[in-house]
Amino acid sequence: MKYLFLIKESLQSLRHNILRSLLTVIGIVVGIISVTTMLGLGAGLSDNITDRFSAFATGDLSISGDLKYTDLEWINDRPYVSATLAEKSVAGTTVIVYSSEFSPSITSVVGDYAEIQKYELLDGEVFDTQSPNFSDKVLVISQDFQEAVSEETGQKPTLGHKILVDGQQYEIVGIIDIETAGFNSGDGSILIPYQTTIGTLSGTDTFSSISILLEDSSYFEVAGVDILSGLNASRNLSSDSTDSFSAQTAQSIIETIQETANIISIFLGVIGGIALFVGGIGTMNMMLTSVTERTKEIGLRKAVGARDRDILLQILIESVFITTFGGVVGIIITVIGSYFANQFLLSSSSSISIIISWNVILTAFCVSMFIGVIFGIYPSRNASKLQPVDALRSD
Amino acid sequence: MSKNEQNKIVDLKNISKSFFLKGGLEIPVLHNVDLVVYDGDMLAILGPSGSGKSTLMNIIGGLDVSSGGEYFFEGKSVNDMTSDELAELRSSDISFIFQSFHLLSGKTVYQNVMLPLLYQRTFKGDHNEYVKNALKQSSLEEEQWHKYPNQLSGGQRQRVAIARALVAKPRLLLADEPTGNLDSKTGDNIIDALTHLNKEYGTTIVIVTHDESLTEIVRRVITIADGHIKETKNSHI
Repeated sequence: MKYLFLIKESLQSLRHNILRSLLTVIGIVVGIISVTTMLGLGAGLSDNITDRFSAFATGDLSISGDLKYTDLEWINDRPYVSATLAEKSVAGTTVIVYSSEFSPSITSVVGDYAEIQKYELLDGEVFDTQSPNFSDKVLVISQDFQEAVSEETGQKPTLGHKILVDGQQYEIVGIIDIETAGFNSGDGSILIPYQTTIGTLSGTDTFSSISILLEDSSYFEVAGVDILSGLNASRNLSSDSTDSFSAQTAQSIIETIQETANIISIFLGVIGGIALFVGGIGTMNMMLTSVTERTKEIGLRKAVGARDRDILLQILIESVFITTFGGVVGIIITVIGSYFANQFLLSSSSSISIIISWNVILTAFCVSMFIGVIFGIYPSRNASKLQPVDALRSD
Repeated sequence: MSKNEQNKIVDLKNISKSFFLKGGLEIPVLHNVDLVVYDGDMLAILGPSGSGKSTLMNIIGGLDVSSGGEYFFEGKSVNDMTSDELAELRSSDISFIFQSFHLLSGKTVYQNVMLPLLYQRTFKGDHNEYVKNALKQSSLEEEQWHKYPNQLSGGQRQRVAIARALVAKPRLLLADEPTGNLDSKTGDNIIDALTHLNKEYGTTIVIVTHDESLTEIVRRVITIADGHIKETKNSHI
């Protein structure tokens, strides 16, 4: 009953100064829109980065360093290894299809691509490059590449079609849909067997990393130590040296990426929080003005029996109501706005979206209430400490 | 305990009050004031502006605290009361009528009168019944109950203030220059209303005024000047 009465008094008071209350609400609305949008953008960015880089974090274990084909063969022979895959980016190579030139992202691959890499086979097959003598002039194209060619030439390259890569003819044997981490030129991707690129496309015969699928993924720690030890021995390095090679699990790579993405999200949230802070200051300013204007009223309320805490609660409720109302309006605007923004981003082929999760909504709601408490404490405390006789005497 | 002791509502002993300006300069306002108000009493505290009569009323009403001396309200020491206990005292036992009415402009007559009941922690009665009784006691027509203060005349506003002062059925009603902002005819009506309350319901009333004509209608007159009680006399009533 008591709290209900105080809530009613607070709302009546806010209604009495409706224009000023609404102007203060706008400050909070802008702040909450800013925070939720930034958090939503951060979540979208984080998801996007994680998804893209997860495509790279293949297998159970990844060995990095200056690796050679013989290293790949040696790793492949380990008893706990189920499959291996080495990939190497081939730069500065032009591709000609239907007499038009394209610049897709070309990757030279060797190993069990089908087993380790994440992709969706749309047509044909992905070549088996396990054999060191594999020398077929074949390649696999991504759907993105197929579409880029179709848009440019009006013709869609399909299985069996031959295309020129660095002047040599390669036959399309497979079409896949693959995540690309966003580093391609927009012309999609092409996979070429490593063996056919030696001495032609690739300047060196080394790889920067080898992905490994283990017989049992729980072996990753022992396997990592054993492989690093073997590789170091082959280079006459001490077995525990970390100068030339390193081992990482796919999970640890994803975790590192996620940590980075989370830092970006927090950074964006803080930027959004600045607007909310300004909104909070506006609320405090409004409440201080309101308390000053209502000094006589506060004195009267005390004269008829209001305790300090009744006054404190009434002013605090006003402040919390303003910021929470602003928060709810801000959240609704952000949810609707992000829906339309995502429609636009989708139509413009952007892979980034604004993700307004329930967590973001709940956080924004709680933060808006919290802002009301924080920025309402000082004015409400000032009001509650007024001496009734002084307050009644004030002009 | 004598009968008189039992009937004492207000008992001020050697009360003094000083205000301090910035820099520590002391301005004494009340000096060693002794005053007793009995149950059912109706007295006037008379004095010119700046004599300390309003300060005395504020101390009696628990709106202000004395700098020295002792104050007992129905035998309980007011000096020892906390801020919450003083609020409780103002809520249940003492009410005020101010010269400038002090009505809340955003509330109707009815809501203004109900306000003191809503702050009471222990109130068990029917709010509406109490408010209607108070409004009737103050002779406010029902058609005015849902008007806002700015839709009323000065006399009507003071009647609302009286109704608000009566609603919680206080032991003591303090009126600070209740006719100060009213024309003489309206002022007479307000004084009639207060006299009626005292006679009909036995409400103890202390009127603070500089209007000497009011001394005709009260039982006792306390004259205060320069912070001292100069004279106490009983009226012919």
